[in-house]
Amino acid sequence: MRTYLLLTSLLAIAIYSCTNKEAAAPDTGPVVNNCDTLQISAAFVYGVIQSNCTFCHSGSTAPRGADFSTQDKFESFVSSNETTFRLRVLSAQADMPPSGALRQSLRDSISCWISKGMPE
Amino acid sequence: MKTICLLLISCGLYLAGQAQDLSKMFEDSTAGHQPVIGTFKSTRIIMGHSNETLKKHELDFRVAHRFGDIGGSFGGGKTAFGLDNSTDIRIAFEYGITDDLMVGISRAKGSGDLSQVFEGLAKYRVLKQTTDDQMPVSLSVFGNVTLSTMTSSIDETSASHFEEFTDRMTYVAQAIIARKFGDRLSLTLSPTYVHRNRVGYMDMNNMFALGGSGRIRLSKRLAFIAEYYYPFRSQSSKDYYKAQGIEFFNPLGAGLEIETGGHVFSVNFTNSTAILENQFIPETRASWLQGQFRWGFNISRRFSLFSKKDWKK
Repeated sequence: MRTYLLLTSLLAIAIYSCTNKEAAAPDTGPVVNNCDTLQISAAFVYGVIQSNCTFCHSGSTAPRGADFSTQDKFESFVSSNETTFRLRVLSAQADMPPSGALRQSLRDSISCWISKGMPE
Repeated sequence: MKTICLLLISCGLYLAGQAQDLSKMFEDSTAGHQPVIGTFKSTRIIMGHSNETLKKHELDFRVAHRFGDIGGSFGGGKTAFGLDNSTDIRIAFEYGITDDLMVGISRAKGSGDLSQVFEGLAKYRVLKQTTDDQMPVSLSVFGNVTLSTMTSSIDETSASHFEEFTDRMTYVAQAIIARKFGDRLSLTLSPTYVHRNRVGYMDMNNMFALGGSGRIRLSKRLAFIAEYYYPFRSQSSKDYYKAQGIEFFNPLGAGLEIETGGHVFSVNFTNSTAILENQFIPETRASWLQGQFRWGFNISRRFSLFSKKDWKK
């Protein structure tokens, strides 16, 4: 009897905590369907990295040696670890940043920028 | 909402009082009709639940793992066909309170908008198929609540930007209708409802899905299993995400189930990266046709916590 009562009370609490919230519409960013014609600057990409990554990935204690403290160091890391960077930051199964993957438009923009050889 | 809660608690009190009488009534009505046993060997099929529950006082320790893409851009030899990555890992303890009612807690890495997820679950077996077809199907109901403990995103447009504690919660309610055909074939149909308190822009807080699964016994200890879910995502949501370069796919899994005395070991291939229903039903973005399927396994080890003599006390 106590078990049924406990389970029903838990169910009531769960239903009581139901809400319906939707995140605000994102800034859509550049259209990614036409990567060939897109102009994405290194400064834009590094700005995204600074806002989301350099808090941890900076200096000699940066995890896995991924030091993004300057634009040159960031580009150097991506050049030599492109597969890892794409997998962990840009892919559908990205696990970085740990607080949640970058929004899709940013991931696509960075991916496009890397594919074009990281132009200035 | 408060009214619903009060009604539920009142129902709970009433049912708790009547529980023993109800059990007696079912025993009387099914007297002489042998229940079909072993529709499935485990409480899970591949991704979702089967109609089976744990026996009374049985503890089930479960580990599930999904690796990275076998093929496609992120698979192939450079990632040892996905073995270098894990998309989701779940560790669970589940317990049979009665022969028909089980509860459990788990922790999953999570794959999708939310990660670092705790889960509480309950499953109740309502009906049992009988050998003489007096009851042609088995029916179980399953429900869970999950709570993400990840750090809130600073991006307010993200589904993982939590303004309130409840934004971290998701729910699943599911009915599992199962039937065993002869000695070799078992099938299920699982109408499912997923609720997520906070979702991304143009995503759906409430989503219905229909699951289907099957098990074909190949030998005494080996069976082929397959499972599929069709989520009912609205066309406007599909169109919006397609314009953002995101496409959703229906979760599909196939594998082999091996039973080895006390263990049930399932080796499977799925396109879904997540293990929990709360995530793989609304958020599967990987496609079998693009090589984005992965190897995974479910391991179950059951322990009987008390001897039968202790049960009677």
